[in-house]
Amino acid sequence: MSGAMNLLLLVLASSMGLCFVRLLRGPSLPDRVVALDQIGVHVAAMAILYSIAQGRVVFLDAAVVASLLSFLATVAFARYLEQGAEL
Amino acid sequence: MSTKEWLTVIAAGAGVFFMVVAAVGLNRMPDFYTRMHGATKSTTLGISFILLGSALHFGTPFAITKAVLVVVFFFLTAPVAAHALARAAYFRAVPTCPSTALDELKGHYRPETHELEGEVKLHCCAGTAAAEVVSADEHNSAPANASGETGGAVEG
Repeated sequence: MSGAMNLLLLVLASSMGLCFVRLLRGPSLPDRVVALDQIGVHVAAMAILYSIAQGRVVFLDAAVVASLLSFLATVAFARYLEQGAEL
Repeated sequence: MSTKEWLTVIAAGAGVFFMVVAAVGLNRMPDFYTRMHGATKSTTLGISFILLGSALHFGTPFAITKAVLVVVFFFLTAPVAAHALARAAYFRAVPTCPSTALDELKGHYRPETHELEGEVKLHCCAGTAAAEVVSADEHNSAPANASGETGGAVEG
């Protein structure tokens, strides 16, 4: 069980690397914000997989906090863009 | 491994697959709006599958409740965040990809108040005509809003 979860964590980490590629080369600021949002969701998914691998429910709370923070960050960035930030 | 463990691994694997699809879509799609479309939807599905795996693995009422709560939270917040971001990008005239056929919102947003004017009539077939505005007083009999400021809110 733990070995399979470690493999899935590895796949998820490389997928997060793809999100970093978009974060680095995104032509406009909204592209980078979407990439940041995706990285936040990946962090939450990693916390859930880690809780399965370790067999401890406590790490699900980390997933809740990560998803909440990424949602708030995205909404704040959207507000900032709509008020007229530099693209 | 028992059947329950196999089910856990399959559910978590399906979730990870959808997360990878989201990351690939984020890199392969041609413009901002399609990128966001691909990324937001499939990560919601992916994280739901991963949480299904964790609920199967733990099986206690506490863990299942927490997993259901996180799924509901994602289903509520992911569309809200995506909509806020797409709206902001549309106001700031982030370009669509060159092969976009129809932009039905073009010119219908007021640039100073960020409100939609009137009601946009949607056309089902692309390329027939641009969207036309049903004027506000015809819609809800309020003549104060009828002065047409159809200035280019968004140059697409």
